[in-house]
Amino acid sequence: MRITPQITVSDTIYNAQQETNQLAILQQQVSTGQRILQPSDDPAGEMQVLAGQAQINQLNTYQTNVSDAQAKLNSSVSTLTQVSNLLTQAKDLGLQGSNSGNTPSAYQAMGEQVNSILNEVVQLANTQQNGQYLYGGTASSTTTPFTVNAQGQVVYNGSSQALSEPIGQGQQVQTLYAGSQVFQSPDVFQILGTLSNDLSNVNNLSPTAQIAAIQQTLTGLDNANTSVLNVVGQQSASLQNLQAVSSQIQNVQLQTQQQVGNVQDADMAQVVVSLQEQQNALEATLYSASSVLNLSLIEFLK
Amino acid sequence: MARTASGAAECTVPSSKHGYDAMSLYTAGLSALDAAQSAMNTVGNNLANANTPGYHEQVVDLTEATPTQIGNISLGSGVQVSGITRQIDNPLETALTNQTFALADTTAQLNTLQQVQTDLSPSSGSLNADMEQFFNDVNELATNPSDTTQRSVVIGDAQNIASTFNSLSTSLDQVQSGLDTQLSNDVSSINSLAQQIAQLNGQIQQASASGGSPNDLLDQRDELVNQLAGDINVQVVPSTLGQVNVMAGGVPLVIDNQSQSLQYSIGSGDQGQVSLTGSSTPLTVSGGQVGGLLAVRNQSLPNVQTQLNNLAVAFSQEVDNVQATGIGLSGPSTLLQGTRGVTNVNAPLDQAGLALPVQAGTLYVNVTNQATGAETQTAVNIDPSTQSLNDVAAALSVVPNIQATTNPQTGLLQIQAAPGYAFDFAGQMPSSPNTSDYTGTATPQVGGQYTGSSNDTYTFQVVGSGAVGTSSNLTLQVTDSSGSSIATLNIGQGYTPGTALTVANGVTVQMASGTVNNGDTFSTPVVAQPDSSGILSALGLGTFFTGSNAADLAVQPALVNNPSLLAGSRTGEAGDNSNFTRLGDLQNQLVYANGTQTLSQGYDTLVGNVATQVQSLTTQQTSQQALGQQLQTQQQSASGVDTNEELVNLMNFEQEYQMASEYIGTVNATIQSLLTTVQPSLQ
Repeated sequence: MRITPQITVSDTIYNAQQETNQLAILQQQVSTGQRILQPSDDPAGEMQVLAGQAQINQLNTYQTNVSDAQAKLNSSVSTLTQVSNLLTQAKDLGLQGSNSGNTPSAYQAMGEQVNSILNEVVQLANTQQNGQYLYGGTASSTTTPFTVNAQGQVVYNGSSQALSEPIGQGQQVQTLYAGSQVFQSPDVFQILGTLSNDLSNVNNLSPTAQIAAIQQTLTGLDNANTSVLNVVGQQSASLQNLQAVSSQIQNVQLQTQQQVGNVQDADMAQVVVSLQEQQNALEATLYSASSVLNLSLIEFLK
Repeated sequence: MARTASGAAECTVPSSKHGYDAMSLYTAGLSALDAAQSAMNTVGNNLANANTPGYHEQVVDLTEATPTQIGNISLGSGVQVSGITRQIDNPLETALTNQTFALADTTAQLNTLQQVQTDLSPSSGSLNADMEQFFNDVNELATNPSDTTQRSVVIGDAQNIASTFNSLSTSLDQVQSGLDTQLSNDVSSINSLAQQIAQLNGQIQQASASGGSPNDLLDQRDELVNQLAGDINVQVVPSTLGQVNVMAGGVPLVIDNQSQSLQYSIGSGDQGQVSLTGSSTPLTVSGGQVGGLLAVRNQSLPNVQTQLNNLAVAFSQEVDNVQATGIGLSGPSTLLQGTRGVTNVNAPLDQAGLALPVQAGTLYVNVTNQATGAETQTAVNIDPSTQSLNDVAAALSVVPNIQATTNPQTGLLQIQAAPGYAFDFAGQMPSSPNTSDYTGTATPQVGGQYTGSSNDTYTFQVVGSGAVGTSSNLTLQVTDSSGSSIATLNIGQGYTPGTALTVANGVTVQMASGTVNNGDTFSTPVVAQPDSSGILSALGLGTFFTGSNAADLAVQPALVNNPSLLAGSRTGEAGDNSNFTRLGDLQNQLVYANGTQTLSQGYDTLVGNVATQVQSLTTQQTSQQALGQQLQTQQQSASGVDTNEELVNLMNFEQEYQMASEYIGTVNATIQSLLTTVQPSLQ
């Protein structure tokens, strides 16, 4: 084959360009650590990466929501535990009151104590977490769930629906319970009010009748306490479940991150070796060109 | 020098008796001088054009001059230049032209699609990231639905999505107008090439007619034809006297020394086309740079634009539908103004130019008495094949206490509630069930929030007669609209009147004290999709977005000004997040591409399609370049100028010239000495 200097020139340019391109790509892979620099480098791989990243981001949101739910439920469990303790205190006072031999002033004092317990329970039932009422359900965050009306009764202004928060695809957890279900089935406030009235003997009952009335109210108080503790049980179960969901989210995230990495990350060792090879090839091309292109008959005719 | 010598000899030398001619001595030498001169000239030309594109090495064809016949002796009379030919391998040239043509086609498409890919590339600030951010923030908002800060965040996310759609659409439009400019330029360059080819044809014809071989003109002309072949599909037909006729895209572009011009225009259906100037019939352009640009301009790019618009419409439609069928923080509306108009208020909706689709379905309208809180529900049937916007307005106005009107100029629908009333499309159960077949005194009440996935009607039938909460064997038999039993509930002995009983799917029922009669029924609709027709999103009534394609999608200005209008609730309670949950669920729902993809997967697919095209075009380009390099090497090998070879030739012909000069000098000296001998006086 006849080789003209133009062939050598254009071959050199072509080869040097190809090798420089390849070198640039490898260099970018080394500096970014990524194998896919633009979608066309591996369209199918890019789709996997995008899907994986979307999943990771979505799981981040679910993790945020799980933490939010955990905060609300933890706050609720501790609030309701306090309520239950208060109810136990009220029960102790009631038990004391159902013994004979208490003086009217002692009864009066006990009645006032139960009344202050009632006020404390109302306050606890209006507990807020980050501006949201724990026991208002889906009612507005500006609506105080429990208020005392003109007749001195505690009324519920919240919603009968609990707030369910999304914690996964199709998974929800109830966080803000409806106060009516927590405190009014049976009605804690009414029972405490009755107990306070019984102890203070506002109806001027005979001592025997008073004690009977107190004992009857105590049964209701037990039921109310059980109802509150049931909610504590439910919420503790939810918390346990949230813990499991949270660690599952972390596992899936880790796996997805690994999968994304497998597709997306450049094999550094291999890339660096290729980079070196490509560099050598380019150097060889340029070196051979520099010596071959100088070869001309002119050089020898002088 | 040689000429003066021969001139001097001509008038002085007498002819020989034997037929030998002193002139013939000169002739051989002269022919050698001429040949060497021509050859050196050709070498010079070759060296000068060693790097000229399209130049083919020229070679002097030397043949023996016709010998002089003297008796039976044939006496050589030197050398003659029979021609100068181009070193050309025609099949190779054709292969190279085809390769140039294919490479120009691929490169034109690749460059454009690479630009499109960069625009769409999902690195930072891309559409699918925006969508994911939106849905993730909605899910976060669901934990505290009345949080105004997070509401603003969600609306900001939606604005990002809209502006990304807008800017992508603008970028694609810019790519398109860039292609139009490039095509116009290419067509001008084709026209100029055609003119030059025609001119060269003329010159070649003249030169050839006078018997010459105009190699340089042929080279120039062939190079221009090659350039033309890179632009458009050409067919070259040899004509008389070295001329060629060139057909481009099926029409004669150059006939001998005449050329026609082409024009680029946008034809019907927004298709770019190349035609003869003054004609509207498009050429069949199948490759080259113009072919490649046209393929991108008329197919690949419009495909991307269509997919982007489809995605914008689908996204808007889904999000709008959820927003329109929920309730904001300030409760049901008293006035709603549509933002997407029809072209004709009297035409059936499916022929009225709506960008978002309407299908036959039902719209549930709830009207609330603001004073009592009592809610009534009316189902309005929508059929886009028969109903015009005016018909829809009339059907809505039948619903008690609301009035719908249309504006014939803007094609927009407006709904207004009567004073003291408000309306919504959240599909909440009406506060009282339908009791037209109920005779008991115990008032039934349904409640809760329906969580089922399809619209239904629950019918409650009383089995047994007696007093609620006391009589034995008193139950409610609950069935759905298909007649299947859902629940059997005890309302007799053991039931506390007024307590809620769970039916199914979040629905509850309660019976007040009183009596019930065997066989009595009451019923309530339970609504999962308050607008199965899509009429609300299509007309832009209480929607999240305005606009009807990727270019003009925008968040409703009312929503931007007042984030509390963001509909998070379906019950109307401010703390309810059920509509946000519904909106967040859209992220994972297969609502795109005939229910096979999520919205963000739809975008991934769009990017993937472009990426796959770029990938295959890149592979094509690489192999075409490699092939081109090979062909060029072969072509150079056949037709290129080897400077070393030329130098050797130069030395060779230099020597020939020197020897011929020496020979003539010798002949001259010989004759001179003869003349001196016979005619001393001439000295």
